[in-house]
Amino acid sequence: MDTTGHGYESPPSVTRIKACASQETNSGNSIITPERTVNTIPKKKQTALKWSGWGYNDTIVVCEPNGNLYMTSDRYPHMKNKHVNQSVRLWLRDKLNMDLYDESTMVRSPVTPQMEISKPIVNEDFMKGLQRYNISYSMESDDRLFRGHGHTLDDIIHLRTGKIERVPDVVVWPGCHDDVVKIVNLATEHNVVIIPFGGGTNVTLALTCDPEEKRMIVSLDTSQMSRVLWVDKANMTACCESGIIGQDLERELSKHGVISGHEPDSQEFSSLGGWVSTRASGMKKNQYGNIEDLVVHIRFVTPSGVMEKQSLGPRISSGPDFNHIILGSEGTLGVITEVIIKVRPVPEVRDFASYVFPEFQYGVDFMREVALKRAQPASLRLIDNEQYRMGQIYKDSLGIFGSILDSIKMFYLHSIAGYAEDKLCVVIAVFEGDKMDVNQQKTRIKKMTEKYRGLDAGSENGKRGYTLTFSIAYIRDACIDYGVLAESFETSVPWDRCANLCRSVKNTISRECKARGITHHETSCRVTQVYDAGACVYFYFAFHRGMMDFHKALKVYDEIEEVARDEVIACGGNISHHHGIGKKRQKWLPMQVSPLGVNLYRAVKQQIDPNNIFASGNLVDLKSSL
Amino acid sequence: MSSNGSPSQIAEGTEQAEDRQKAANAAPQLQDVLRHTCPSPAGPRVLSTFRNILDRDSCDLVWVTKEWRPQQVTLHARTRTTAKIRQDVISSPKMQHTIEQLSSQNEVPKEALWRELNDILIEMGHTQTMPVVRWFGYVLSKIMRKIYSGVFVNEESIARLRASIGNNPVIFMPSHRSYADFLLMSYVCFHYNIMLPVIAAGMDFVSMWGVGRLLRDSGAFFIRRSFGNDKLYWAAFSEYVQTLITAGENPIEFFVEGTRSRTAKSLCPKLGLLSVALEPYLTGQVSDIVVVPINISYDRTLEETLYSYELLGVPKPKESTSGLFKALNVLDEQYGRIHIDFTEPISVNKFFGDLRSPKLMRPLHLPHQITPDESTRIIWLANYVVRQQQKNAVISLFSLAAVVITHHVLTKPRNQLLNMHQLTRQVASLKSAAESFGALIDCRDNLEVSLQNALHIHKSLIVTSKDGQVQVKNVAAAQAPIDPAKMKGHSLQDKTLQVGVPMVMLQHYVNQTLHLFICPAIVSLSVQQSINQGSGMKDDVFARYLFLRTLLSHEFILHKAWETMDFEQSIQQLQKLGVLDESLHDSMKLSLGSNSHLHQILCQLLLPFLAGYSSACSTMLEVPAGKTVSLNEALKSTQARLEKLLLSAQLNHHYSLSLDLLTAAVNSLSSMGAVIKNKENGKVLYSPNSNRLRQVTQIVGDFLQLVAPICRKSQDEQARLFITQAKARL
Repeated sequence: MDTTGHGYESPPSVTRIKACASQETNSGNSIITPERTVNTIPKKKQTALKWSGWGYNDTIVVCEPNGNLYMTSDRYPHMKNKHVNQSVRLWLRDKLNMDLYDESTMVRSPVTPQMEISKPIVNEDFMKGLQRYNISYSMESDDRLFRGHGHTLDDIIHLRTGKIERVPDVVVWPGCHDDVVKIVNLATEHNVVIIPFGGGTNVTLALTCDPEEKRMIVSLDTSQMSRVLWVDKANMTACCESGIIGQDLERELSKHGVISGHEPDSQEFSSLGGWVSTRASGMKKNQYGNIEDLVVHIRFVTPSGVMEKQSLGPRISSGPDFNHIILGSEGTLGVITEVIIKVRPVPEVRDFASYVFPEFQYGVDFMREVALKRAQPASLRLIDNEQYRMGQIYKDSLGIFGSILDSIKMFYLHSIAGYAEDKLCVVIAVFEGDKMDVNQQKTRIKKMTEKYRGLDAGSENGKRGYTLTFSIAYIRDACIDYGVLAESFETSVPWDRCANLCRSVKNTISRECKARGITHHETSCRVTQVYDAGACVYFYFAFHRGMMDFHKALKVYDEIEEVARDEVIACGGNISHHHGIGKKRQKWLPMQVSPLGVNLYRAVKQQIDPNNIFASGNLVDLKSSL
Repeated sequence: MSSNGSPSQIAEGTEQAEDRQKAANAAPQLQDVLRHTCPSPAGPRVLSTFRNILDRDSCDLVWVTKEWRPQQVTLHARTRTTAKIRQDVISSPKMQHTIEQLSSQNEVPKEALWRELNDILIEMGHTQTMPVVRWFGYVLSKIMRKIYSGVFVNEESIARLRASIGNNPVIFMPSHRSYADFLLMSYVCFHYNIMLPVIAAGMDFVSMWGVGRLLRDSGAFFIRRSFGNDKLYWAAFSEYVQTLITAGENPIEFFVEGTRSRTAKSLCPKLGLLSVALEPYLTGQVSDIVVVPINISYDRTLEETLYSYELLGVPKPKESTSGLFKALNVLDEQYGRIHIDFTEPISVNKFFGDLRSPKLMRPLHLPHQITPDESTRIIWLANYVVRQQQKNAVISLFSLAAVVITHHVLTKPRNQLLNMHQLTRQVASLKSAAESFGALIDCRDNLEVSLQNALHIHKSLIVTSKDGQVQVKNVAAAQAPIDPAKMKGHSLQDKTLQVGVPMVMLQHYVNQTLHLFICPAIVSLSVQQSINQGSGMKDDVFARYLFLRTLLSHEFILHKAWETMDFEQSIQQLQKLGVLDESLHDSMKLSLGSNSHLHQILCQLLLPFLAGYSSACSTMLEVPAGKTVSLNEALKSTQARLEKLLLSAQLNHHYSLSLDLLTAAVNSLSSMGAVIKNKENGKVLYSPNSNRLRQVTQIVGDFLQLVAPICRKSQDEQARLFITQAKARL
C-alpha cells in the first residue's frame, strides 16, 4: 500500500480550492481571499523543524569556549553576536552546575530518531474512505512521530532517549471544513480515533497517545487549512481556517492593514485552532484580549454533527454559551475548523520600556496599582531577580564605551539608589497604538513606577526582554544538553496572594530538592498578566540531574512539579492559567471544577462523542470510572 | 472493693468518649507523619556534644563587639524598622476591615480606633537594637559567669538547626522555668550567629522602670495577659504576630506553656498564640513554618524559694525594679549549670499538609476560622512540642537525689537518717532506671563526686553533715512573717509552712524527673491495684491506667493520642527493670516483679497528686446540691482540709497543698464531668455532679489507699527530720 496520499509537492488542485471556498458568502465590504496561504512551515514539518526539540532546524543556541554566545540563524536578530557575561556564567555554574564552557559533559540529542516506530494499526475501510475522498495522508514514520508529541519536558526527554511507546498510525491533512466533516464521519463509521493536531506546541502531554489504544489513531493535522477566508473591515473581524499558525496569521492579516494581536510565546508555531481548544492567552492580551475575548464565532465538527452559533453579532443571550464547551476542550470533543476573530488596525507605533524595582514585592505592588487604575499597556510583565540575572547572560559586544555606560548605570543603581543586585526585579512593558496614546500611556506608567521606587531602565532593555521570550524554549533544549532539566508551569492568583504564592512555591521547590539531595537547582518566576482581580504567574524550575539518568531525573522533576502545583493551589492559585490540563494536570481537575463539573463534562462527552472517537484522553481520564 | 466496678466502667467514666475517639482516629495517620517528620536521632544523646559557651576564646568585650552577620531566617526577609512594622500592621487589609467593622458596630469614629490601634501597637512593639543587645550581652556574660558554672549548648542540635533554616519562618518554643529563659535564647543565638529572636512576653515587665525598655530593645514584644473580648486588641495582636511570621526577618520565640512553670513540670500547652502563629500557614501565605522546641534545663532554679511560697498561696510580689534589685542577692549564690538543647525542627507542613485547604475561597482580610480538624491537630502539635522539650531535658543528679530524699523523709522512721552512702547507692539505681526511660543525666565524673557537686549547689536546701548524714534545711524560717490577709489560699499555720516550704522546694526538683516516671508510675499502680482485685489482666490494667491518666491529664503532658503507645512502652520498660514480671506465661496477664523498691518509689511519686485530688473531690462533694463555689473558695477549703490531714498525720506530703496542683484537680474533675463549670456574670463557678463525683472520689480514694500506707508519718515527726536554718549556719 502507498504510504502517502497526496504527494507533498503536488499543490492542491484548483477545483478543490473552489469546492472548499464555495461556501463563503460574498457580501458588503468583506474581502475574499480564497487563495491558499503560503505556510511558513512546510507540510512535512520535520524538514524545517527539529524532530526532538523546539523550533527551526537551523537555529541552535551555541556557546563557544571563547565566550561567543549566539543562535545559528538570522531569525532572532537580538540573539546575534553576543558574548557570555562572565559573572552570569559563574553564577550559572554555581547555581545549576552548568558550565557553558565545558562541552565534555554535554549530552546532545541524536541527529535522527533512534527509536523503532511500530508498524501502524490500519483500518482498511477508513483508509479506503480517505482515498475515495482524495484526502492527503501519510503513514511514514517521521510524520507519525512528529505528531505523537508536544513540547512537555517529558516529551522532549522521551524523544531524545527513544522512549516513545505509541504514535499516531496515520497523519491526514484535510484541506477545508468539508474535508474534516468527511474524515470525522468516516472515523465515526469505522470506529477510528482522531487526535486533532495544530502546531504541536502543548506542554501538557496533550498529544501523547494511549499505548493501550487498539484502534487506529488518526492525527488530523489542520496545517493545510490555513487560509484567511475573509477580512471584514467594517466590523473588524476576520474569518480564518483553524490551522493557520500565529506568524502566518499576522502576516496575512497585515496585508489588509489589520492584526489579531494574539501573541502567545509559541506564536511562531502554534495554530489558531490550538489556541481556541486550549484557552490560550497572548502576551498582549491587555490590548487585544485572550482568545476567549477574540473569538466571535467557531465552526466545530463533532461525531454528532457541526456546532456553530449562527450569529456574527457581538453578543448573544441564548442560554449557556456553548462556545465555552469548545474553548478548552483540548481535542476531546471535535475539531475546530474555522474561527471568526476580532482584528485591530496595525498599530502606528510600537514602543518598549523597562523599569527596575528594588524588590519583587515593590514590583507586585506596582503591577497591582496598574491593574487597579486599568492603565495597563499592551503587555506588562514583572521578572523576578533570578530571571533578570539569567537574562544578563547575553552581553552585547558594544565595545568599551558600551560597557562603561553599563557600569555607570550599575554603579548608580547599586550605590546611589541602593538596589541590591541579588534582589532587584524588572518590569517590561510593550506599548501599541497611535503615537499620542502610547506617549500618554508611557507617562502614566512612569509616574506609577515612581511611587514604588521604580527606575526607568530604558526601552532597549524592554525590547530585549520581550523578544527573549521567543528564544526561551531554545534555551531550554540547550540546557538539557548540559544536564539541566527545565520546564515552566503557570497559574493565576488573586492579587493579595500573588507575592506570597511566588515565595511559597520557590520555598517548596527548594525544600523538595533538598529532600531529594538535589544540590543544584533554581526556580524563577514572572508575573506575566494583570487582571482586575489578580495576576498570572509563570514559573521556571530547573535543576541539574547530577548522577541521575534522564528518566530518573524526569521522574524526580515530575514529582517536584506535582508538589509545587499542590503548593500553588494551597496558596490560592489554580490548576492553570493558559497551558491547560492535557494529561499532566488531570489529578487536580475534580478539585478545581468540583466532581459535578467533571460529571457535566462526561455528560457532554457522552452526548457529542459517545464512541470516544476523539480519544486523546485529555482533561478527564475517561477510563478511570466511566 | 465492689465499688470500683468493672474496668470498662472505670474507663467509660473518664472523659468524653468521642474526644478520645477523634484523637485515636487521627493517631495512626499522624504517627506516620511523625515517623517521617522526626526521625529519631542517629544515636542516644550524649553530654559530650554540649559545649559551655561561657568558656570561649575571646574575652566578653571582644565577643559582644564582634561583627554581626547572622544567618538569615528566610532569604526573602527585608529588615523593617519598628515604625515600618507598625505601619504594615495598620495598613494591612485585615486591620482595615476590623476597624471598619468595629466603627460601624459600636458607632465609634474610625479616627478614634486608629488612634487606639496606634497606642496598642506602641505598647506592644519590639524595638530590637544591636547596641543595646551588645551592651546587655556584656552585662549578662558577667552575671552568668558569676552565678552559673556553665551554659552548655548542644552543638549538634545547633548544626541541625542551622541546616533547617533559610527558607521558612522559624518559631522557637523553649520550655519556661525561669525569667532567665527570656535572655538565654537571645544570648545563645548571638553566640552562634543566628538571627536574634523576637520574643512574645507578658505585660508584667512593661511597668518595671527601665526593664521593659531594655527587654523591648533586646527584641521582646508585649502581650496583655487577658484581653477578653477586645476585638481591636485581638486583631492588632494577631496581625502583629502574623506580619512577623510572613516577613520572616527574625525567629519568633514564645513559650507554649504560656507562663513560667512554678512546679518545674511542663504546663499544659496554651493554644492561642500558636494558633495565631500558624494561621499564615493554614491560609496559604507561607509554604511552611519551622517549629523548634527547645529545652532549657537548670540545675537550680533562680526562683526556687519564691515558687515554693507562691504554690502554697503566699502572694507573688508585683514585678518591680526595686524587687529585681533585691533579688540580686541571688548573685551571691551558685546555680550550677544550664543545659540548652534545640530539638529536631518540626515542619508544620508535614504536620498539617493534608489539612491545608485546597481551595482558598476567602479573601485574606477575613479572619480565618480554625476548623475542628485543624484544632485537633494544633492540640497535637502543642503537646508534641512540649513532649519534645521534655525528651531533650538534661536531668540533674540533684533531681534524682530529691526523689530519694523525699521518699526517705516520707517513709523511714525519724531516727533513721539518710546517709551519703545510701543516697549514692539509691541515686545510682534510680539513675539507671531513668536512663532506661530515655533520660540524659548530667553526670560528668564518677557518680559520687558528681552527686556531691550537685548537692553542694543546693546547699541552702540540703546539707550533708561531716558524718555523712543528709538532711533537709528549713528554709522557711528566714522569711519575713506573712500577712494572712495576703494569702492567696487558705491561711496556713506557721508550722505547716515550716515543713511545707522546703518540701515543696524539694518537690520542685522531684518534678523535673516526673515526665520520665509518670507513665510507668501510673502503670505500676494500676497493675498493683488490678492484681489486688484478683485480675491483673492487661485490659483491666489498661482501664485503670486510662482512668489515672485522664485524671492527671491537667497535671502532666498525657495527650490522648499517645495512650496506647505510652502504655505499651511503659510495660516494656517496667519489665526490663524488673518492676513487672518479665517471664510472662500469659501475654495478656501482668504481674509484679522482683524490683519492689522501684515499684514503691514510682507509686509514692503519685502520692501528693492523689492525696490532693482526693481532697478536692471531698471538698466538692460537700458543696450542697444547687450551690456553687468559685475556684478560689474550692482551693481554700481543700487546702484547709489537707492541712487538717497533715496535722493529724493522715497525710504527710505537703506538696498536696500546692495551688497549681489543686487547680489542676478542679479542672480535671470538670473535664471528667464530675464537676460542672458554670459561667455567671463573667465569673466561673463550680458545682458538683454528685453521682459522677462520688464515683470518681471512690476510685481516687481506692488508688490513694494503695499508696498511702507506704508513707505515714506526722508533720511533727517530719519536722524533726529538718535542721533549722539557724543550726545550719553553725
